Amino acid sequence: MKDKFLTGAKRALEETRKTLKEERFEMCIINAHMSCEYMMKISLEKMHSKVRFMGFKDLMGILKRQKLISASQYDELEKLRRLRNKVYHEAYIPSKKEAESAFKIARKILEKC
Amino acid sequence: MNKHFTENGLYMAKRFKIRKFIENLIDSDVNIETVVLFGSSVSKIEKISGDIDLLALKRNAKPQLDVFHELLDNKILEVTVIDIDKFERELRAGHPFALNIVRNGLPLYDRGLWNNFLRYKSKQPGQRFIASYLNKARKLLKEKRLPAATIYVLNALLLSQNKVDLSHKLDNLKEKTNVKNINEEALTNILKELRVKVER
Repeated sequence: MKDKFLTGAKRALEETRKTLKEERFEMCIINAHMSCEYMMKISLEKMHSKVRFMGFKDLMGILKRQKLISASQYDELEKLRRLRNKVYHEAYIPSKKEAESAFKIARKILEKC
Repeated sequence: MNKHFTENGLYMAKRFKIRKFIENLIDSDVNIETVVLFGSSVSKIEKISGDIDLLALKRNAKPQLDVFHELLDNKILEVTVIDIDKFERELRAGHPFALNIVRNGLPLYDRGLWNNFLRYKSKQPGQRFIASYLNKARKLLKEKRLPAATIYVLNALLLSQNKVDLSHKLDNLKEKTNVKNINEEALTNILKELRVKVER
């Protein structure tokens, strides 16, 4: 399962990079969110935690409690989570700055996990 | 467990090979009342490809809206978990996402909640959502981001025609709206017409 998640995370990060370059900021945010989700799952699976059926917010909470991410990283992920929901459900148009920031968060999480 | 699968739901769940997944999902959380298949998978019964979108309606969900992904074979299963009260509030407001689920979604598993939502099938999309799409389109046009502006204009056009299966993909939208070639001038004209319609 870990390999599957890693492949998924890398693919999603690549899509994040590509869509940022193409200025498709909405898709960039959605892909960054997905990449972070897979990476959080990999981290928790390494600790033998069950990750199945866990939402993004639950994953963030466990990682923070286990001190696998810092408080500021938790805040960054929460910002990404909210942004993704706004894009997906409220047709929000993210700015280039928001998309660049989402890409940075996803890359950082991939490096950390 | 099986008694709560709808007739079509059981068939679709088997066909998409997600029956076990749904059973496990329900087992993992007693507050999940209904699971609905939505998006392009609903109309692609014969051609099973691409990603699968599911919506899980949950009592007292915290956060009220969250998502997770599951990798099944070569497909991505995206599960949106939404609080039941929030979902109903969105339906009352004519939120396109919620309306699309009720109009075009297929309930796979249901403990008796789904019928309560069917009265919203005839609800029109809220004017504020159309206005919001138009405002965004105008902003994008000013920034000369033509492809993105086109997506918002065509989505607004769909909403004004009481259609709620919106998309982020330009090709899909062109097909749904029957708009083939679109340049900045055409886009501005559609935008103006829709604005007049909304303000009326």
